[in-house]
Amino acid sequence: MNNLPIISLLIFLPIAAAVIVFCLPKNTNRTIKTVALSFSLLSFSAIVWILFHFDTKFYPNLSHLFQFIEKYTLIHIAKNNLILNYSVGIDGISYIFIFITILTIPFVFLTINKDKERIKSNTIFIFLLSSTLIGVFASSDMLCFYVFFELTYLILYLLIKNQNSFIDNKKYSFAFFLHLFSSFIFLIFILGLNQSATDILKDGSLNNSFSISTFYQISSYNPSGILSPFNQNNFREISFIFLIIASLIKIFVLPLKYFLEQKNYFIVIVSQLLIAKLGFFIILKFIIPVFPEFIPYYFPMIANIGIILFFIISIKALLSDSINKFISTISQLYFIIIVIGICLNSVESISAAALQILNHNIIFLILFFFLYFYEKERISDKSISLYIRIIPIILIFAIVGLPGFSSFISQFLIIKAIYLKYHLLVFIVILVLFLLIFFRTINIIKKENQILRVFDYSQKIIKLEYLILLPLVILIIFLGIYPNYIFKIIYSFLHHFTQ
Amino acid sequence: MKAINLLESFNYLIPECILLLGILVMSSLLIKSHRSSTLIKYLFFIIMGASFIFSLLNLGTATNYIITENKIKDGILIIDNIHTIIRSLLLIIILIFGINYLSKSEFKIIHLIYLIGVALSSLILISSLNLFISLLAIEIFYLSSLFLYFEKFERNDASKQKFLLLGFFVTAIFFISLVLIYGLTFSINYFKIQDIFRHNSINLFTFAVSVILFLFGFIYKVFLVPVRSLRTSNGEKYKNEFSILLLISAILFFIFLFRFLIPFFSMLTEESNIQLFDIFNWKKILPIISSITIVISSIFLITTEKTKTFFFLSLLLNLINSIILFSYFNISFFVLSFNYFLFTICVHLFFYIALFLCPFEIKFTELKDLRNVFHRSKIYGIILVFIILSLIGFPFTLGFWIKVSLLKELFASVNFIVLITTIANFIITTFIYFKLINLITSKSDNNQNIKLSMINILILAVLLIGIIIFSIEPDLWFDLFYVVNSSIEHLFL
Repeated sequence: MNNLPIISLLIFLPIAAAVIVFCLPKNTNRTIKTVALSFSLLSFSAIVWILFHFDTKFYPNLSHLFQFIEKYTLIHIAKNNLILNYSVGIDGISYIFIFITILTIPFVFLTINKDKERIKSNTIFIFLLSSTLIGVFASSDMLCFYVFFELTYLILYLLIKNQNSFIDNKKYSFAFFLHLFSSFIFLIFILGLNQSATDILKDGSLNNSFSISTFYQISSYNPSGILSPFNQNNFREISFIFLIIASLIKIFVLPLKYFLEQKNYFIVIVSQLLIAKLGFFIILKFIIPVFPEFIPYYFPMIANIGIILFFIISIKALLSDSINKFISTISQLYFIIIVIGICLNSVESISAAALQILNHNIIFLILFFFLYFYEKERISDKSISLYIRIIPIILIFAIVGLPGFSSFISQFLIIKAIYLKYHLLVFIVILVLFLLIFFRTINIIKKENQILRVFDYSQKIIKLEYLILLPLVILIIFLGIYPNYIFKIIYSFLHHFTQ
Repeated sequence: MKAINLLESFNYLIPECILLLGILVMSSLLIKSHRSSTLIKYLFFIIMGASFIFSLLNLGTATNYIITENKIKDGILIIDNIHTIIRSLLLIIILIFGINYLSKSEFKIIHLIYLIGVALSSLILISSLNLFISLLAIEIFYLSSLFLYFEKFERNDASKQKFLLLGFFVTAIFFISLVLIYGLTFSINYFKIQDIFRHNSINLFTFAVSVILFLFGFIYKVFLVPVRSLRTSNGEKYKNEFSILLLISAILFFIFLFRFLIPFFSMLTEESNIQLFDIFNWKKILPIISSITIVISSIFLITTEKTKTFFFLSLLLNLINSIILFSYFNISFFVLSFNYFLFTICVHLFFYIALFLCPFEIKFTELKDLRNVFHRSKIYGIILVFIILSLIGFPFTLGFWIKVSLLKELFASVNFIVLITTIANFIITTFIYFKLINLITSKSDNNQNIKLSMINILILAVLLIGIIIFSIEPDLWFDLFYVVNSSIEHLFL
């Protein structure tokens, strides 16, 4: 069982599903849905299997950083000594992100229903997207990572082009160009690292490497490399700044409000819940481990900006009158909290930020589901289930992070870190803003009459949705009570790189 | 001097032999031409197609074929990898030219002979190592293309005579230059000239004059017909076809430069013991000039609305970038930048063929005509997007491998001016090509279907398969140019 290529299985299962869906005839929406959900269930079981076999012990060196490793050489250009390895493996951070991806996919399939004409093509694209995203998160070779990374954007581009509502949206095209631009910066960064770090091969010779674990070890850098810390005229600082900009572009450039204006919530879920995570992933996996020397100088600066932004955007959230704007600003607030958590740069705050990424995903999945996808036609006056009463309440509590819910832990740890590093006044203002947002959340939902839908006890949830919602709700509560296991997984990666 | 030194591997010349045979068959048909015209048309396509297929077959074995130095110096014709690649390219372009030329109006058998003449002469021209053979090939090319031009564009007798007389005059200049070169070096073989130049002192001025005369003759004869045809006011509907001829001429000129002038430049550098590109402090000046040109041409590129202008500016932008790369004069790096140079030309050629040369009913004269192509014809849209992705350098396309290997080498060489200009250029071109993809995939009211005929599908399929093969197995590309690379290395060492 230990030799099972489980990561490849995670990457290629969605591709197999996409092929099967492609072969199905066009008007078999029910079959497509069944295939899609069963395959996502398979992926989910695989990721749960990994959870139980994940080694969370602390090791002093990096040899055990990547687990479930697989490595094959795909392309080797002998003239230039350029090797593309298919090299995958999971560490603590990638596990969280893969978990998020696999958790989100079945939900996306539920939302595909709205556009009846494009169910098949959307299903295929979503499967391909999930495959490349898992590839991005699981790569242990930089060039392999880049290939998956670019493919993700190509598929996202085609997916959005496939929707009916996106005709010549210039803003959207420019956003995509910015993504391509940031990817290009990333390619340059990868090549710079490749020039600076060397690996020792089996026969004892030195070779310029693309392996991520090589880049983590400071001893593998050569004195002449342009991104090497041993080279006095290196370009590490510039590339650090550019990388930070590139990853912030990834997080904030496809803002929620563009899509809310377009009324295509399917794309909102995909872009916001899956793609925006890529930026955080780059910060956590590459910037913090590879550039430790700039973090004490630059990260407090970004955290300061984050706190100012937090004030501004929370005031914007308090003033916003429509539910769409309110949700988009709340989502942005979550992102800013995560950025602040990362930039406060302690093991606690960073792992809290990682947990917050997971929370954001789960909470907003349920929120989107209730606000936009729950169809009015399904109302029947008689049956009132206890389940439907509880979920929205849990949801609202979870958004604002009341004790006992998953986001409480992460928000508490981040606010604690703010308290330790900043003036007491800042801490108090942030707390007050949190409380105000809590009341505003209830208020705005009431005002928009959406609350009637959310709290409408007379609605029925069909079995499938029940099945998909249940694990999410359990997760919200479970992580609020016992977040330790997730923290252990995150620590297994972070303890190598943070104070 | 041996006539053909390649008898041991004669199959490398089969495409040329088929064309020669084709001319003979067509000439015999010319005498008793009571066959039906469609049959003869098919015969022409069979001849050209067979030649093309054999050239493709040669491509497969080209990687194993490595020429030794002696063979180069003795022979008349050279068959190396660059030759085999360019030969296949030329044949497919001439095939498309033929289809266009013959489909527009009625034709005579003599036209077919002219067309095969163009093909044969250009094939000989790209493989010849001997100035005299080059001259003969240029003459055949000139006359065949001129007669093709006369058939389609109405000219009066006086202007026809003028063309011919000027042609003879230029032939005379050709001979003068040939005599001058022979008088100086006692040889007309490219490589022997180079050898003699290395070991003996030669009057540089006379030599330069003779080379310039030869170049003048070459440019006049090769470029006259396509340029004239594009400037003639009557015969509008044939202009697109004759722009193909311009493409062929450009390829021929490029190969001539490669075969003759690059060795000549290397001779100069050895003679004076300094690097040519250092004479005017090129290393510093060239990147500055080129980056200014890049900025200007990219501004034009962003604002242009004509498809052809867009295409040529994009080619120019990439070529300027490769010139910047050339200016960094390191041998191993030169090989890579040369690969980039060839890649740019090849992919742009594919782009050009896909956009303009397939005889669609719809013309893409303006960029906005490209709207909705993806939905009007899925196959065609996919091919265009794939070609553009290759230009962007998207993973798993040939462009990706070329760009990554180029940047990798740049990082290793640590030349920051070149690095920064290259990166800036890549970003600009990415933006521009992305705009093009956006256009192709966007939706519009224009829902006119693009109908592809069998022959178009065939051509596009060949292009697509070629690109995919190189994308999956990029080593093949580097192998194909191995001989070219090694010969360049040899020249500059």
